[in-house]
Amino acid sequence: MADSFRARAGTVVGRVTAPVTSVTTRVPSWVRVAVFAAMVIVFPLLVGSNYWTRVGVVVAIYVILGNGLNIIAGVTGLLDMGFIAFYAIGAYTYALLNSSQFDIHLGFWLSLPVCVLAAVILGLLIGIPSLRVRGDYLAIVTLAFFYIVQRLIINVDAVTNGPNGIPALKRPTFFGQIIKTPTQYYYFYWIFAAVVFFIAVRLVFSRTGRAWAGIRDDEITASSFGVNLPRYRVLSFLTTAALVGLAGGLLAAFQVGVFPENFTLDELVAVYLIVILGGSGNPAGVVVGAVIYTFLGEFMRNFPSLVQWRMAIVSLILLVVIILLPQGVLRARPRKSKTSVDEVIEEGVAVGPPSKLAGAPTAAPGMPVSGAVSSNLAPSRGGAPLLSVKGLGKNFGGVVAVDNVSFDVFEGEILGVIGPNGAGKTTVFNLITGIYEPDRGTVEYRGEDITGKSSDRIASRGLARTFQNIRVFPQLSVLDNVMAGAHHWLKSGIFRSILRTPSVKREERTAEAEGIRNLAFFGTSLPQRKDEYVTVLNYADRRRVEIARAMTLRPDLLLLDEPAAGMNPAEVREISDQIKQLRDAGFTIILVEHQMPVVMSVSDRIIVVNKGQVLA
Amino acid sequence: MTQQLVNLLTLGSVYALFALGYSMVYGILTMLNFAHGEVFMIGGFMAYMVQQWFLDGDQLTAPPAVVILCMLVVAMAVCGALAVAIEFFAYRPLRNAARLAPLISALAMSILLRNVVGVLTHFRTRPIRTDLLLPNSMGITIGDVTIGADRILIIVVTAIALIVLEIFMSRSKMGKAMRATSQDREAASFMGISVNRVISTTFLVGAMLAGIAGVLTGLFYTQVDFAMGFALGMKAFTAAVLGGIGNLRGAVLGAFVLATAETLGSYYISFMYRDVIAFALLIILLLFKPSGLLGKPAAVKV
Repeated sequence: MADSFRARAGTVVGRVTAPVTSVTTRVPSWVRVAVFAAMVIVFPLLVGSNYWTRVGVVVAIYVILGNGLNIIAGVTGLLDMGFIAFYAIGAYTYALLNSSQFDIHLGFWLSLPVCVLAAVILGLLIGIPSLRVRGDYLAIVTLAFFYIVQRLIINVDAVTNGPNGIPALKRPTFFGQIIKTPTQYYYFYWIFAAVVFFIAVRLVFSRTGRAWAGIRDDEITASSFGVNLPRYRVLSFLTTAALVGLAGGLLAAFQVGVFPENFTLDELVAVYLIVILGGSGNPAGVVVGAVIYTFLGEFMRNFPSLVQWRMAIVSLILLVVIILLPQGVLRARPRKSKTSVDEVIEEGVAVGPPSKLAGAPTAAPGMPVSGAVSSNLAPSRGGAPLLSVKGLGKNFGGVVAVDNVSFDVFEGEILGVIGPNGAGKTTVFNLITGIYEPDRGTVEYRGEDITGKSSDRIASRGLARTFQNIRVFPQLSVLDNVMAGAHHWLKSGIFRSILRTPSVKREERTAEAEGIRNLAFFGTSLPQRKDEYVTVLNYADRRRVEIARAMTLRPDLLLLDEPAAGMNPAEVREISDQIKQLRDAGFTIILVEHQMPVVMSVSDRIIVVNKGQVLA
Repeated sequence: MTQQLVNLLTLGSVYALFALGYSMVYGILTMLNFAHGEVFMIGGFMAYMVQQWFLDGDQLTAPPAVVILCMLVVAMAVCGALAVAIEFFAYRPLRNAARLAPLISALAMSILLRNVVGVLTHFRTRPIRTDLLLPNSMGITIGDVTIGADRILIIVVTAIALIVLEIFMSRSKMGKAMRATSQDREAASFMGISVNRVISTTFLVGAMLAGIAGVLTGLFYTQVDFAMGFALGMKAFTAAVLGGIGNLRGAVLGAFVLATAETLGSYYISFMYRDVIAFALLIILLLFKPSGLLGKPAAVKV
């Protein structure tokens, strides 16, 4: 049992995921949301006690706090230990603006945006520099930041009143009515919680959410498909800071006071428990986590001897959950896409780079494009090369991995690159696509020098690649994996995704259709599995998903790194034909391959690389 | 001046012993072992426990040297066993999981240990009778400066521990296996090295050093409490990063650099903000020189 859960958390995700692929047989999500909302609405009427209604308010605050943390930790996969500092900043901002401390009484509705803004500004200051460094260090930098904030709260008496906190804050108002009773707070705060939940859901299933998930699952691949890593890390960090800052403001307004003991290491661990117990990455899971955690705490109050053990029990549960049930009680599921396969196939399945697609013939519905697409797109040699590599070199330590590699690739051709293991073929790819910075030499794409540019910028120019050792995003659906390729030509940012404007809907629809079309290039079975986790696919299908993802980038140049590795002879023949079809559809292709028959039958031209140098 | 130098050496010694554990574990598992601070804290409580065995009213029932030796041995044994158990139960199941999982596990383990010890000690500090164990009369006077016996003990014990560690790492078969595993775990396992045993040993050795550091810190501050692992742990980690995490000599160097910065900082700026200075240093360091003084930048594998 434990073993399979472990596998679930690790690289071998397939085993446990397989049984839950029949998403359609489940209760629709809107029904579950409606049932939960009804329960929330009737709760105060049922319990009829101020005490339990106040507990319900605490749950609402935890829902906001947990969904804030879920963005950076669950969705983006970064260990942020500083979020409690932003919680404190939100709360103290509210307190300072609504108390006799500085005799400012700004009121609830004006203060709340300031709380969020204060958290975001401080988030920028700490986030921009710290999110450049390696992932593991983020934990310690943010922990140190949290510790400093905690120390300042206690020591800067003049502002924060030190250990005593700031009491007697202004209460919120709602259309002139002062929010005072627990029941008023309860409904008022659950509106906030619902809005935050809604924002979280929309963000998770948006272009931004896919980029975040890409960072969580595989940074290098995400970067190779146009995701600007520092930018999206900071964006995630700030989204968390903003939501957590809001939670802080609400906490202060609810307690009508702020106290240093609201913002402790224990609280930090508790919110992590909420996210992980509920199901990290899943906003609905976080809501469930918040409910379970709060009521567990209340339950423990019935046993006075247990109270001192509270944090020990909380951390023990967290430990057990992360080891035995890492996906939580309500695990994240693959997104259900809105575009149906039939619809797309009806429209035709022409594939190709954008520059060639206009006027490209459309294949018969239901059929992948045939090889006989066009003769007018035959290699047009003699013109300027599409990609020109000159004197490329790279050393690792003292080892010369690649030395003085030069070649040109012309539009519309397939260039085969062969050579023995360790000859430096993949390294050449990594140098071209910006994963490594070359020590010597230049790479020019369409006459523009792209040497040493970051992977995401090179990808956005129209270079797409596949990886030798398959790199798909294990926690995304097949279609979302393919749509990750669309990142650079989609435009929607955070705010438009939250509002889901018509332009965003249109854009997502286009990307889904194009993704399905590119999957359909490999036959009709793959598009049917678009809403399953990519990890349930077999090896050959994952390779196809990689190629489809690369096609969705709308590249002019495709770099295929051993696309036939690990395939059986029939599949090898099939993929060889498909590579030729891709060329005929207008893609220029560089193909690294070990299997001589593939290279010989497919390539228009071949170069041989050995010991890091071009031989022929 | 002499006094400041001794302070610096004392502080640096404790940081060094403590930082080595972080650095060793990070070197092999590239994981931040949050629970290491709690292992250190439990080392401090072992000193208290042993002291209570030998304490009769206001008198020790055995020579101080015997008591201190007992403290060190018990702390090393308990901390070592505890760390091996932590690795086995909390980290090993997650070794191949997504990178967030082991960090969360370590964080939870840290809070768990801290609270268990907290409840058992009623969340109160416990005194260490340094006045009986290392009375002032045992100090050495150089010129007009008297160096307390506690400081001498800390520096001497640390020196011995570091020399033993250096010999262990460079001469013994296990030490070589540990270095090999930290460079490439997979290759090491192909060479017939039992990676699980190496990792257990790493936790064992790191925790034994932390146990020593816990005892010495208890003797130095004349008290121990359940929360002492956190702030000091962060600083020890700073030292490890400063020297280049994964690099053991670097960790020792980093410890003394940090101790120097703190000694000067609290002398010239403010004692109250000593921790804030150390953490600000940590943040700046991680942002601008994450590979540390002696570390190598990490290679990306594709």
